[in-house]
Amino acid sequence: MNILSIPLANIKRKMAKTSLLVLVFALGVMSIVTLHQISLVVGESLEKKLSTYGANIIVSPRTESLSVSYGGFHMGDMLYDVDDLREEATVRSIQSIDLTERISVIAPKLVGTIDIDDMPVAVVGVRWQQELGIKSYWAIEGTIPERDNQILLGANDARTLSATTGSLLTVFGSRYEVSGIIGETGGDDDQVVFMELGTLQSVLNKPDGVSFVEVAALCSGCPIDDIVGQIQVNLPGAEIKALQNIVNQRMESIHFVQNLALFISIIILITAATMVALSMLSAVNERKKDIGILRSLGYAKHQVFIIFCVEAGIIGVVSGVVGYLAGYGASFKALELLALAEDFQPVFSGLNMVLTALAFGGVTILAALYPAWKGAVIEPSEALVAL
Amino acid sequence: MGGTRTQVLRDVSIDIEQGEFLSIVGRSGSGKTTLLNVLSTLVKPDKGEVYYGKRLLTAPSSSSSLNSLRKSDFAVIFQFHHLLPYLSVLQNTLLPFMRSFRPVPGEIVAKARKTLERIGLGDKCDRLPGNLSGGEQQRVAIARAMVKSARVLFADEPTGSLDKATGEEIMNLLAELHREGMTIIMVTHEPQYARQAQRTVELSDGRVVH
Repeated sequence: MNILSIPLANIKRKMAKTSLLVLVFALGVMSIVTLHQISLVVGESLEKKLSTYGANIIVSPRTESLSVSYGGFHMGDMLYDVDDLREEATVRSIQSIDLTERISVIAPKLVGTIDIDDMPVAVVGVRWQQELGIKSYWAIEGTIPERDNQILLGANDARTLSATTGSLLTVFGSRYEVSGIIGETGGDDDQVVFMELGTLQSVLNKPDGVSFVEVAALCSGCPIDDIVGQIQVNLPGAEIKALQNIVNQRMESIHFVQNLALFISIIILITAATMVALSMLSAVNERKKDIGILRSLGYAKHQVFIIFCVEAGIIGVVSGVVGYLAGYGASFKALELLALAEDFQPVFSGLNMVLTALAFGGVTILAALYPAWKGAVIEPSEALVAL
Repeated sequence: MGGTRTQVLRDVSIDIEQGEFLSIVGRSGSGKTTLLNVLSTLVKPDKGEVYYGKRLLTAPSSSSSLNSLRKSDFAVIFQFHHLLPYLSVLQNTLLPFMRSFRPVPGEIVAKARKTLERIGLGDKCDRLPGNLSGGEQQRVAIARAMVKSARVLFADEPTGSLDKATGEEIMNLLAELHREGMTIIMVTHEPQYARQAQRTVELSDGRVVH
């Protein structure tokens, strides 16, 4: 028997009222835990989905440029010593960084010019599976090439060549079928012809050669500079550039979702804490005579304060445990409804449950500070009126 | 009422000897309970001084020493509501000792059980006050004073809500405590109980008249 016996006995006496308060607070905790799980998962899922809308790192050969001018005639910056990257070695180097789990797509490309029906056209050789991983926004009329003698046209090239799906075009003396035409993107893709990378390497006599590699990296949780730095270490002869505007846009989207979840959680927490505070205020008013008895027995103000704070803390801790367990369970359903359950599963952590319980115990104690203080400063004379 | 101050006690000056049994009587509204509350430090007087031995209880910075007095030397019992309804009889008896996180020492628990047995409540230690009669509840309050070895017992209408037979039982218990050396100051409106005290102080309109 000690001072804790008093709040525990009171909780036991008012089990129904206490249970209701715990239930309400636990619902708040459950919502916050569920939102937290969702924001973690959505952040990762959203970033993966956003990565299908383009790369955010470019790996290209290191180039030297020379500014050439003579006799008043300026030829501009001339690039020299430009070697293609080796596809296999470059892809392997990117995949072997420490943060490999943050690499979503590696899409190598070989760029060149070819004649199609005697017209010079820019051509890009790609690995189709990887390319579609970062070009999910392509609206293709037709299909992507499935055979080596098929090509995919950008919208402008299709108009220029007067080609449609199924047209046969002559490339390097061979007939290639147009398997599909990409809908207008407003970007560089409209002006090029796409073909299988291996086929173009063979046609241009550049075995294993690539002009640059696009990388889609998942940046949430670590700065993109780390990823870039690690790739640079593995590819010292290459130039690694992060497309900061793309990175920033994506992180903004993800942070928006996470901040929204956080904001809603704070609102829920404040509402639940306010309910606890009001309940404790009501308890102080109801128990004025109890306070009078305690003060008449020599209980100091801080001891009365402790009694009310402990009562609130117990409610918070129990709500935290119940809410965490309920929130963990609810996360499965929520992720199922958001169609994210296949890729991600909520993670249960005993440590997080304990920390959640302690944190919400702290919140309820904070919420009860004013009511507990109000009870503590009741003088015996004031409480005697209630007696 | 409505912001008007009412003077409840006027020019009250009394001396109470150690070991004395004093009853305070008077009509309703005469200031008996207020006087008792002032003496027991539950109410601070607007003017005047209260001494306990040589200790001035009405000094401005005496809050912590008053708590100390209330937990050791002074015990107060009221007409109603003197027990916490959610604590057992034993816990209510030990309430003065449950102020800290340290458990109540075993010897004090044993003393409490013995005291409850002495006053006929030994078999009701685990009951809640709601399951006791008025007289039994009052006896628990007195047992609380006995366990903490209070030197002064302030009793405000201790028999006010009890039937005659139970009232007699309570008065007998108070008499027993007085014989053991406890100073008892009792407010009562029942003359037969007032006569059991060694001395009676009568109040009328806040003044001592007798």
